[in-house]
Amino acid sequence: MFNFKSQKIRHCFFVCIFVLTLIFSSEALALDFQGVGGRPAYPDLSNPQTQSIFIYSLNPGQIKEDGVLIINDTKETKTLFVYSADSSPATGGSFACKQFGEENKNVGSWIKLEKNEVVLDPMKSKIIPFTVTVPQDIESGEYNGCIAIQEKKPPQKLKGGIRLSTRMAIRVGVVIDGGLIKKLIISDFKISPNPNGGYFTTPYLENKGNISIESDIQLVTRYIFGLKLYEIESSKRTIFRGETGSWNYELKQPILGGWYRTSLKVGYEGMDGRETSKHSIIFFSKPTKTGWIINACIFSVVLVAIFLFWLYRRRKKWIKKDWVEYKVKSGEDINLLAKRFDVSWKLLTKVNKLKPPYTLKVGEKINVPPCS
Amino acid sequence: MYKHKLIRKLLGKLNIITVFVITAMLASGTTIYVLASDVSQFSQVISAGTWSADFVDASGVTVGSPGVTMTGITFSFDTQDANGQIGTDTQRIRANNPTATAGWSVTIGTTNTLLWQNGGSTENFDFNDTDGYTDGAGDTDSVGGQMTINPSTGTRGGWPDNTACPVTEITLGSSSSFVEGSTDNITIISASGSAPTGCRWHFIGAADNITQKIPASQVADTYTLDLTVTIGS
Repeated sequence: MFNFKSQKIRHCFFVCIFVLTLIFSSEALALDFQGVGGRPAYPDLSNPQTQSIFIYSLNPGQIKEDGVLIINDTKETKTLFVYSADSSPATGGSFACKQFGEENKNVGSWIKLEKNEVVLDPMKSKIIPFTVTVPQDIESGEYNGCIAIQEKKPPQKLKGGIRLSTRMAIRVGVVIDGGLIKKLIISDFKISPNPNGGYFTTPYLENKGNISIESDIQLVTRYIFGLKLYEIESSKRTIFRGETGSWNYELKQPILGGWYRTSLKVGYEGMDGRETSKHSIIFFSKPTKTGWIINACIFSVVLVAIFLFWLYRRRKKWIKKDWVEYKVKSGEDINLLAKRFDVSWKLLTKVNKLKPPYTLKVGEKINVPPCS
Repeated sequence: MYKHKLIRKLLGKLNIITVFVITAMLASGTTIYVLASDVSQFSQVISAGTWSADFVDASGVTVGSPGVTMTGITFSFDTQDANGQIGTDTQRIRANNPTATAGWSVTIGTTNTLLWQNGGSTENFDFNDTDGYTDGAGDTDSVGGQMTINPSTGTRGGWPDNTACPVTEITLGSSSSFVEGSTDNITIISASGSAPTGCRWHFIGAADNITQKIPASQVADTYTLDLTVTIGS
């Protein structure tokens, strides 16, 4: 008979519990809790974008069936509210969509979700099927909306001020085939002070077509004489149909200050191949504190150099114009003459091209400064 | 029964329970290593997760009921401004991207016909009027008031640090005012398609990065407005 009171069996039991705890706690530690959200349930493996965005190419009147995977990556059971909405303009051309309860006239109204509420246990997910029905009388081009996932919470107790909540929106991009236009222009390019120091370089890219454009932005800042200071090699940004995208790229304040040129190059895949646009801007930047010190040092060195050059030229002129011939007398040497004419002996030897040991013969003619 | 001397000796001298515990510990230790190792015999599927945004404190713990307290003002016959800060040190906006897809943005907005309301919804003022302090003809309501948010004065950081999750491709939004129908959402931060994936970032705003224009002679009361922070691509 199994006897739990037996010491050996009790030991074995505790050992098993210990081992199991170790194994399963290690597994739990390997996971990280993220939040609630969702993603396309059936992504197209040939298009990595479809792992996060719904992208459809449909015809007027066509119906598309799909599913959204709702995820609860938290430690708590969550009641999640799932709804469709039209896209809504956001500053800088970012993607955003309308709030729950706002009237949808576009993609938000084309989507019919099988359910709008789901209760998910911790670390669980669930697929909600939905259909997208494109109206018959729709023009070609891209239309955007979203499926939003928001936690259902009791009303906040905060009275006064702003009550904040969060949600996740999965973009639903529907392209209606026929007559697609891809055109992107640089509408503006600005450099403005960054409140936290340095500058913001802000390109403004306007989508003049009827479909989203994936742009590739390159920003290079150089000293005015060409040396590269800072570069963003490739920054990929999406500009939605009818939107102007703008982004504040940080540029640290150049240490030395002076005139700089920032060049913007934007590339995208147009209808007839790769299209590129360029723009550049020249701006003046004050030096940083360190820059002021370095600049002061450089300025001092330049000033001294100019002074020395001026002195050299003036002395050359003085030697040529004012110096006179002198006949060396008995007992005179280079040191004595240098003292008498108040000039350095080195200059005397240099002007007279004397070689070491600089001995002078009586009656030898050398050039000396005029007597003052 | 046991003819072999060694086995007999082991059976006689060894504490079997102790050996079992040591063996189990070693085995479990190996199991931990195997679970954490790149080359594992165990099959462990970790799902890609999902983009999400939340408000967290300095240690990364989600704040249950985030909010912004505006500066207190007193009744005035003139227009005046109230200020607040979105993204404080204790209520940072955190964007999580555990997926393999880069390119997302965090925006803030609300239903564009919403108003600041007092407790009984008897007094209100606007947050997105086309004319600022006074009621403009370009919107659906009949009250003035406008909110401006300036994310560009804030800072953003990667988690656990900027080396693991660099911020070069994470840009701050520009200062903007809500305007009904044309600016219904303001971008706080956005990541380019070249930003790292499998990362988290947070945004901490500067003081007074929210300015609310209050109409003249606004009735003294406590007003509340609901805003939603959205993460999307």
